[in-house]
Amino acid sequence: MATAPVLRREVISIYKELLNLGKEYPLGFSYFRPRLHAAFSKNAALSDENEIRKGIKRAEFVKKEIEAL
Amino acid sequence: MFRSALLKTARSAAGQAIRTPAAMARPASLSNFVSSKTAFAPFQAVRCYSAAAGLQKNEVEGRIVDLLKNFDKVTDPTKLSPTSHFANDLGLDSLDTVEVVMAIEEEFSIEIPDKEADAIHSVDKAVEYILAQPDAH
Repeated sequence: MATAPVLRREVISIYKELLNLGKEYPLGFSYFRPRLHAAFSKNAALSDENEIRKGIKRAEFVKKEIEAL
Repeated sequence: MFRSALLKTARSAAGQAIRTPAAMARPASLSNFVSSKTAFAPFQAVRCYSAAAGLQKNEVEGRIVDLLKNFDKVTDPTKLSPTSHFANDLGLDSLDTVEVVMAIEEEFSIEIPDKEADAIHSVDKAVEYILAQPDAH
């Protein structure tokens, strides 16, 4: 909450994109969802802008990996 | 079976329509016509596809509560009520809230812009939002 609203929105939108992609995950959505949730909440405490940007970069990378499946 | 019944009704209705002038001319058969018309009046064959879905408040509420009941992060279904707050009452975090909003989008086949989605924190807020959407189903 303390972070900039722009970053917050960016994180939420990439989370949504990943969730939508995860619906066709080979091991099933029920496998994918808790892991995605855990990965995001692990970084919930980040407050440094650069750190958050790095996290978003990683999420983009993961997105590409899932798309390539 | 339903289809043949529908056709039969349509045919008899068409027959009635054609016979109307004759019935008007003979008052004796007019009452017969009126009574046979009332017999199938409750059956509404015409449906306007352009009409709004016209969602009722309690229907929307019920569908959202059902949706949350099936959401596995909601551990205590007794706390579910039309006024419960996602974070305070149901113990959902902000990511879960995003998921709930996505599920609501799917349930009512609409798309909720990020800005509005941010404001949905409780069941009654969601109900309010859905009721304000003319194309929610």
